[in-house]
Amino acid sequence: MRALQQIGYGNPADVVALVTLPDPTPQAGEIVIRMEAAAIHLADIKNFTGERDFRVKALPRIPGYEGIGRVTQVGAGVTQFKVGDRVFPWWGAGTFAELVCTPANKVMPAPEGDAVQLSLMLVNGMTSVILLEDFAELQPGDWLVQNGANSNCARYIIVLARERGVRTCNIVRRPEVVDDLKALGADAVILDSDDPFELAERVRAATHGATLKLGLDMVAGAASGRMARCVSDGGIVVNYGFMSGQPSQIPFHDMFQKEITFVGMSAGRGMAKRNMNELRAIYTKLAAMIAKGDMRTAIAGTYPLDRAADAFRHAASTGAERDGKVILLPNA
Amino acid sequence: MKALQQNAYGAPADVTALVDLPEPVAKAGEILVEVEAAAMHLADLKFINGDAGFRYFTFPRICGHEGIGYVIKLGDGVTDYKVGDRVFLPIGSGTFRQRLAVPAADCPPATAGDAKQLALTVINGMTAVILVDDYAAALKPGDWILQNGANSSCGRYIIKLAHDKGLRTCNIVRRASLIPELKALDADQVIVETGDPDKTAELVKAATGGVELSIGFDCVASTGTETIGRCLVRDGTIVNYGYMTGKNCEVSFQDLFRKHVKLVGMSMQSPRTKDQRKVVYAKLAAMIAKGDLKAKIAATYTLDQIQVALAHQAKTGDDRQGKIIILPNG
Repeated sequence: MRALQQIGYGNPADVVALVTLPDPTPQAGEIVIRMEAAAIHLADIKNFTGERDFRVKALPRIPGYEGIGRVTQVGAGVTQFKVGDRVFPWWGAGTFAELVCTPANKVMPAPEGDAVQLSLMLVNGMTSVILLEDFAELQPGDWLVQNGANSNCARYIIVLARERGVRTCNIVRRPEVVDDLKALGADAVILDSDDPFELAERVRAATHGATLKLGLDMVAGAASGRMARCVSDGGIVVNYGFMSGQPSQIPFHDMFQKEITFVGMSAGRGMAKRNMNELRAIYTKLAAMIAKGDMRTAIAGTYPLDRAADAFRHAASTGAERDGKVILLPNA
Repeated sequence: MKALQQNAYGAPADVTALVDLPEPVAKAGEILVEVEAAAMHLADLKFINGDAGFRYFTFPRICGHEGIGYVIKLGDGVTDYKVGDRVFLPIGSGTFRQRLAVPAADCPPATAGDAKQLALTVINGMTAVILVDDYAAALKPGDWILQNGANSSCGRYIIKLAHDKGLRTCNIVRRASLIPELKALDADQVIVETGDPDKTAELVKAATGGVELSIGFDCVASTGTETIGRCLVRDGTIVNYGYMTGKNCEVSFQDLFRKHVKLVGMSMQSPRTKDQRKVVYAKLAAMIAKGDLKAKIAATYTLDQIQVALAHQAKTGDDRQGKIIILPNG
């Protein structure tokens, strides 16, 4: 089978190679999955470049956090899946390969539906649920405010918040995405401003002065501080990404006068608070919503394995150059 | 009566002026206080400059956030105080003036002792108490508090208040010359800032024997905040209460995402009733009067010299060396 293999740290084009490996044979309790689609995340790129704290434990390795595929072989003792079943492998199975061999006990059944959209559920879906549930007690009618609102996570949050009766005020950089986010269920979509006070005023107007307990920041840099300005006194700002590549910067006057709490978020932490049944229940629901088309993401491009270097270059770009997620189709 | 009046936002010399106002009169429930000493803070400059987040005044206003004085006249119905009693002035009452009339109920009683030192009780003293007693409430004797800007008046109070509770302090300063001074104040460890969060974190680790540091106080902001975050254990809390650098607090994604370090803004609105606050002020005043809590005083100025005082306040490090105190009545 063909697979991508990371052999060092650096420019993805230099350190990730397309290799041919022996087809895997499932051991007892394992299954082999033929991958249909595998999402590329910014974290994959960070793993390749080897940025601080994104260095993986051992090289060489097959990258890929998530994806969707169909079972082609089952090992001895596997009863929950049969050949042909559509499944999601668990986190970090190494999905940038034609075939993935993995223990069956964590693999989850997947619905029929658009493989490209479903290939994004695992990481962004769980992150969105954790962000909505773990940091503030949101009641129906409450508002939350988020930046990077055209990101996949943020788009999931728009839909999941709406389902709970929670309204979203969404900050974007490009006016072109406003209509799409509104169609998705965004209650308010506003343009970003470099001036925190101007932005906060726009947010205040869009939310009719409602109390904003929760601000979600996936941009970092000065955007973290702008988010602190937007939330209400005593509010919490949760950072879960750093699209800007800059450390989060929060002005003293927001920390002090407004008693802001600023925290980081990781899906691993949120998942550790939930047992496996709860996690599976979350995924079952997310998968159904995505399959039905209720949660949909803009797809910037799909690439076969032999164009992985192009795919990674595309995934590392932002704004108009990458209008959505980049997906690998390992068997295309 | 002389007072420092601010008429707009801008450079202190342009927007503030020493004015002669009518003598204030104590109405019912008020006391007339002659101001002995009023502490100047960095925030006073921010309020005058109108820095972002510090613009919420209507003009004209009288500057000065805290001070100490004695009662010279009682309004009708005031029974808590008599003429000659010493009182702390309410926060934000405009203390850069010779006399003011304030509600008696808003003035905690003060003690005898050095007015210059006591003038720092209400803001710096209370800040230190809130940080040590409330934000570090979970610490047990022997545990460490990490702090930067440790030579500030608040930082010095924190060293002493923590020591009294059996807590240890690891103190980050910018100048090696401060090490003996702070050690003499019962600082357990004093580290000189390297400018590189990783390197400073290494020094802190060595100084504290690698124990887990769960809380750090940051009054520096910028990479000072990042450095505190780098030193803390998983789930540690950075409490920001100042920004000597004039820059934003910075926290790195790695500390947020991998270590779940939390940054919280310290609030003066601690969950204390007015009576509980009075108890705290009384304890602080007693310690200050006794010399157990001692701030460095860089200089004292009269109201006539107030522009010099404001220019002095704008300096840091060796160029200031402590707090600026205004003596409105000379």
